[in-house]
Amino acid sequence: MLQIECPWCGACDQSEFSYGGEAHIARPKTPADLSDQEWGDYLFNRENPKGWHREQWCHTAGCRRWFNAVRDTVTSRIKAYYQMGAVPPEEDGR
Amino acid sequence: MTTGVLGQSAFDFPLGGRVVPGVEGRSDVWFEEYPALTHLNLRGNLDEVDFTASVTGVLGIAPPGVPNRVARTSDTCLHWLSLDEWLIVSTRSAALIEKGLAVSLTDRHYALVNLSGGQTVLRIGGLRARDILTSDCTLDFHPRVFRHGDCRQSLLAGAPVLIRRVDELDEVAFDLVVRRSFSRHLFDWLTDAAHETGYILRTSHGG
Ligand SMILES: [Zn+2]
Repeated sequence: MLQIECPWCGACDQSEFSYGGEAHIARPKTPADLSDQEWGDYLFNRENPKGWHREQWCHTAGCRRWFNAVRDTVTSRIKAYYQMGAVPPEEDGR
Repeated sequence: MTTGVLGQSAFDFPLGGRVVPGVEGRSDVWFEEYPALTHLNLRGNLDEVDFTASVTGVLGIAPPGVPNRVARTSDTCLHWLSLDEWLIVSTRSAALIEKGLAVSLTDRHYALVNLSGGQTVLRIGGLRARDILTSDCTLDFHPRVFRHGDCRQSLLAGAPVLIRRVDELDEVAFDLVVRRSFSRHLFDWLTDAAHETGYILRTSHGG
């Protein structure tokens, strides 16, 4: 059983959440000035690390709020949660 | 206004009066539908001046700011759904509450949506009601964790439900607020899960 901790509702079953992919990907301010390669990079290319990963989650079946989590992609252990727009905690150092 | 389903049971068969014994010959769970209630989704900002006061003036209770809590009067439950969202379930008329809030929240930033025709309340109670819920849902329904005045949104048999602990009864009971379109599926799942404990279908209220 995997539980995820919503910053507002507390620990809930993983089935209540939706995955939103890698966090901190900012939309380019002037998309028209980008090359196709740069735009494609923004749209499609992600880190896909083996290990700690900063990612977005939404408590879909609960309060429907988005938040960030730092999750180990190997073990699915989550070591930190932080709100949208907050400074991410250190990614290394278990 | 669409009045087709308002006040009618979500089920196309009579719910009440059936007793289904479990494997030990007992019926330790009961179900009861409350189909005729007012359901209103309210959104607004707790930090905004007068929002809390205006809602309190109409409903007699303030919107809870603490996650997953319910504020209750004798006729109305105000459930926390999100940081700026609440569900009003009431025996009072939707039109009267809508009118009251529209007047007191004039020029304020808020949203009110009438969901009365789209949702129903299925109450589950009895000695082994918690066993039925925990057979699919990982929430902890123990009264130490799921306390008086608590509500939770979750999935039950894959259907989104809002679960409220019924505090006004002496026995264990939970209200399941569910969309009408999911209610038959949820009911079939619940009665199947209660096959072993046995169950009683109580006559629904206000239907
Ligand atoms: Zn939540």
